[in-house]
Amino acid sequence: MNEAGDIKRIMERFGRQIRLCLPGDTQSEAFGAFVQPLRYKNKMYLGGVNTRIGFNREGYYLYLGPPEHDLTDLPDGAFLAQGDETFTIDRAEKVYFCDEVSHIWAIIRSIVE
Amino acid sequence: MSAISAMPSAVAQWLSEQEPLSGIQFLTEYPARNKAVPLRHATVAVGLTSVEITDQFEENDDGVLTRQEYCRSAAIRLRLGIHVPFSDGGSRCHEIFTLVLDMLTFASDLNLRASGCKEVSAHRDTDAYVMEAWADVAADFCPAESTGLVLGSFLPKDMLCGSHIGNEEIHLSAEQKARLDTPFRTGTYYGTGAASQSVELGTRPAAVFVAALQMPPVHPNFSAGSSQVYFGFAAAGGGGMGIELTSSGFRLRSGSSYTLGTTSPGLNAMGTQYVYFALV
Repeated sequence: MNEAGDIKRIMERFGRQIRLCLPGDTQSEAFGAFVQPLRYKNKMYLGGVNTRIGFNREGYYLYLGPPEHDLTDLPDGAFLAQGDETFTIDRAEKVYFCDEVSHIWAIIRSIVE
Repeated sequence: MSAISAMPSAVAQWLSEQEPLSGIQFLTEYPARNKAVPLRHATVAVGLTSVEITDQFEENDDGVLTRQEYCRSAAIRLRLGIHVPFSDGGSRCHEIFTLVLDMLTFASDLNLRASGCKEVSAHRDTDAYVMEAWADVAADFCPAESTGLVLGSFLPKDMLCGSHIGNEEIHLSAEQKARLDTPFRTGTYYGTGAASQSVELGTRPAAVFVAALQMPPVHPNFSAGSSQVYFGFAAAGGGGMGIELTSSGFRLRSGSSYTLGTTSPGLNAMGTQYVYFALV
């Protein structure tokens, strides 16, 4: 039994269909990944923050995706897309099971132009 | 929109139109829209730190400082929030500060008295390196004049007191005030003996009184059996014998057309000096 394979099958079955977009209009095939609103321990900024250059909605999401799409080593300008929604990648880490990467963990944010 | 609230947006709009500053986004502070995520371009937020308006004093002809009734002075501190994406590095803040202040100082008509900046810091809420800069602007307020919003001493000079100054029911206009200071004109003229002579006042008077110096209003010539009139009055509805108002003063007339029986006008007799009093 391959734990990484099990996780990937769960993602494909229950996750959202995500595309990884690179600079130059290169897109990956759609793959299953979990993208859910990040739960805040500190609820002080749930309403967003008004800054001098605009309102920061602070829409953070937790991403759990397959290791084949490594978000930890992407060029500047790469982003995730699901339908019309696009997400920029704030932080990404590999999660290991023994010595094997089981999935990618990341904090992503909705892109606002 | 008042002149004060228009100033940050006018400055931001002007800066965004300057070719050397292309690639930098300019906006007013705390715009009613979402911040760009991620921040891709350097962004400068223009706002006001303070506005101080004080009386203006000028020396009169005697060297005494007198308070100007209509003109006041304003000291305005502009605030420039320079935001740079992390990937550009903090030194980019200094580059933008230099570019923007150069444009405001040398390419605009703003009367910049001083400018400066603070340290660069990393700002979590904006995902940017942030540096706050400032520029002190001096401006005059003179409601009698007005300028467009062209970044000169550009604040429209009827701002703040515009609603008061513009209210003619409670405030005199400059023309009304001038008329109040000099409600009448006086002067003299010499008769030419011609059929007509005009005396120019520069404006149409409301009424005119004319009299020949050292002469009675009517002087009879018993030997000739005639009389001459040496006093005249004219107003908007018409005038006495031989006098009428014009658009720029008044006119004296003589001749048979203006004779009544044996009485004729004498307001332009050759060599006679006359004095006039005109209500303007």
